[in-house]
Amino acid sequence: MSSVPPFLIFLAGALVVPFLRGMPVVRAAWLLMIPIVGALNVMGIQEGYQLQFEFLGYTLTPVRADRLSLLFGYLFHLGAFISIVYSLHLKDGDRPTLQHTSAVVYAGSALGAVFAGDFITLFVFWELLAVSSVFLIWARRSPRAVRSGLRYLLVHVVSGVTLLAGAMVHAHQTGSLEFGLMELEGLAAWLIFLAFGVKAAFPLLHSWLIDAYPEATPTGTVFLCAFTTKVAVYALARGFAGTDILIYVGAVMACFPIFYAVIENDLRRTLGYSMINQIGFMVCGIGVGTHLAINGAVSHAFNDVLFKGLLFMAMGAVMHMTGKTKASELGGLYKTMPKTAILCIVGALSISAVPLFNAFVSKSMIMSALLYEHHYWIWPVMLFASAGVVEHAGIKIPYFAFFAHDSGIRTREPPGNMLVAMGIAAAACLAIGIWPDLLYGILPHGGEAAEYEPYTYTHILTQIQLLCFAIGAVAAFHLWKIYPAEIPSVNLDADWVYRRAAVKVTRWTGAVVSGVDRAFRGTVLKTVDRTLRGAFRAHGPKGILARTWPAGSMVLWVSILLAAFLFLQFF
Amino acid sequence: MSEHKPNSVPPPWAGRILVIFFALCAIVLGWDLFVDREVHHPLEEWPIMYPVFGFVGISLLILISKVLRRLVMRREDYYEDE
Repeated sequence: MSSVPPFLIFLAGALVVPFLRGMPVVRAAWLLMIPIVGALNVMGIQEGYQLQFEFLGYTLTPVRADRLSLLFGYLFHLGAFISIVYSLHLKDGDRPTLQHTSAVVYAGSALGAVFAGDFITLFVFWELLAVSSVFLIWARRSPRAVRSGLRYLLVHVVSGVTLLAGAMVHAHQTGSLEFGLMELEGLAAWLIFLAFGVKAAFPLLHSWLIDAYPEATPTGTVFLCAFTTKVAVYALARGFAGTDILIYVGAVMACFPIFYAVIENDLRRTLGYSMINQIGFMVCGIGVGTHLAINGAVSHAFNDVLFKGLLFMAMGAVMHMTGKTKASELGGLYKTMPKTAILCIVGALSISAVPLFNAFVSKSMIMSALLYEHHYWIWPVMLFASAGVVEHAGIKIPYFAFFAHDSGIRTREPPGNMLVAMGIAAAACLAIGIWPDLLYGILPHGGEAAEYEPYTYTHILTQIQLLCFAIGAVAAFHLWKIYPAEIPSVNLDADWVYRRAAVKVTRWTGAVVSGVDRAFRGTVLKTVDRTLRGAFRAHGPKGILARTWPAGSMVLWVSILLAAFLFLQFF
Repeated sequence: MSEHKPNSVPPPWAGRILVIFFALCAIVLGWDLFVDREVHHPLEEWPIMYPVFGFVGISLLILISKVLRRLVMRREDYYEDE
C-alpha cells in the first residue's frame, strides 16, 4: 500500500497552518489541499488493509480499513472539505489561525477514530476530538461560550476516561485490545457502551450538544456537526450492531427532541435537537442490526452530514450577516438573502425525506428494516418522529429565518465561499437523492439481504402523503393562530441537573456542613473556654487553691482532724 | 445590515402557495382511496392511514409541546448568573 494513515495528512497539515498567518490566499490554498490530498490518499487504501505493531505485549492497530471505516473516511473528507470552504472568509478578528488549526486537527482526529482498530488508538483520538473541537466553541469568546465550552470539554473527557476504563477491563478479561463487535454484557462492555452513548447524545446524556453547538462560532458549528456524533455512530455500528436496547434508545432519541424543537427560540439550538432526532434513527437502525438496517444507519449518517451541515451553514450565514439566530428576532430575510434561503430550503427538503432528496433514500432503509424484522410497536413511533422532522427542520427553520413576519432586517448575501460551500452540500443532497447508487455503492453490506429500492410507487406515495398532511397540520395551526409563538426564553433540559440542581444541592450541602461544623466547633470552644475559666478561678492569682494559708490555720485544721479521729474511737 | 420597519403583511403569493398546497393534499388523499399499495404493517391496511397519521401526529406534537412549554420555559437570562 502506498497510502499513509489518513489522520497523518490532517495532523501534519494542521502543524503548518499557524505559520501561514498573514497570508490568507496561501492559507486558503493549503487548507483546501488537506482534504483533497487526504481523499486521494484514502481512495488508495485497499479494503482489508491493517497497520499493526506490538506495544507492551498488546497488538495495536492504528489503521484498519474495511468498508465501514472507509465509508466514514470518505464522508469525513467530504465534510472537512465543505466546512473548510465555508470558513475561508475568516478575518483576523475571528481568530482564523486558532479556528483553522483546531478544525483541521479535529477532522484528523475523527479520521483517526474511524480507522482505529484497537481501543487505545480509539481512546487517543476520542480525547483529541474533544480537546481540538472545544476551541471552535471558545473562539466565539463570549462568557457564555467559554462556560459552555468548559462543560463540553468536561463531559467529553469523562466519556474518554470511561472508554479507557472499559478498554482496560476488556483487555484484562480477553487479553486483547482489538475493537470489534461486542456483546453488551459485563462491566467492560457497559463502560464502553456508556462512553459511546455520551458522544452519541443518548437521552439524558445529550445536553452537551444542545448546550455547546449553538455557542460555537458560525463556522465552528459546521465542523462540530460533521464529526463528533458521527464518530459515535460509527463506534456503535462497529461495536454494538444488533444490540436490542439501541432500538429503544434510538426511538426515544428520535422522539423527545422534536417536542423541544417546536418551542425552542434559538434556531441553531433547534438544529441541535434536530441532530439528536436524526441520530435516533441511526441508533435505532444499528440496534436492528440487519445488513439493511446497518446500511440504512450509516447512509443516514452520511446524508446527515450533508443536510444538517447545510442547515447549520444557512443559519451560520444568517448569524454571520445579522448577528442573530433567534426566531423571535428574525424573519423576512428572503428579500435580501434569496440564495441562502433557497439553499436552506434544499436542506429542509432533504432532512424531511422528500423524494429526490437524500434522506428519502436512507431513512427509509431503517424504516423498512424495522418492518421486515417485525418491530411493529417501534415503527409507528419512528414514523411519528419522521413527521416531526418536517415540523421543526422542514418548516420552522426556513420559515422563521427567511419568511414569517418581516423583522425589518435588511442585509445581503453572505461571502461567496459560504454560498459555494452550501451549494456543494445542496448539490450532494440532490445527487444522492436522484442517484442513490452513488451512496449505495460504498455501503458496508452488499448482497441480496442488503438490496433496497427506495423509489417504489408505495414509498413515494406514502411519504408524500405523510409530508403533505404533516405540513398541512402546521399550516392549519398557524392559520388558527394556536401554533406556539416565538418567545425569547430558555427551556429547561437535562443540563438543568448540573447547571442548577447540582449547584443548589452543593450550596445546600455546603451550608449544612458549614452549620454543623460551626456548631460543633462552637461547642468545643465553649467547653474548652469554660474549663479554662474554671481552672483559672481555682488556680488563678485570686483562686482558692492559690491562697497562702497562715500556720495557725494549719494547726487549727490538724486539731480538728485529731478531734474527729478521737471522737470516732468511742464507737 | 440595516433595520427597517417590521412589516407583518404577508406577501401576495403566500395565499396562492397555500391554495396550491391544499390542492396537492386533496390529490394525494384521493390517490390513496383509488389505488392499491404495498402493506407491511397492520396500520397500513387502513385507508388514508398516512395522511391521518401525519396530521394527527403533528397536531399532537404541537399541542403537547405547548404543555411542555408551560413546564420548562424560563426567562432568557435564567442561566446567566451561573
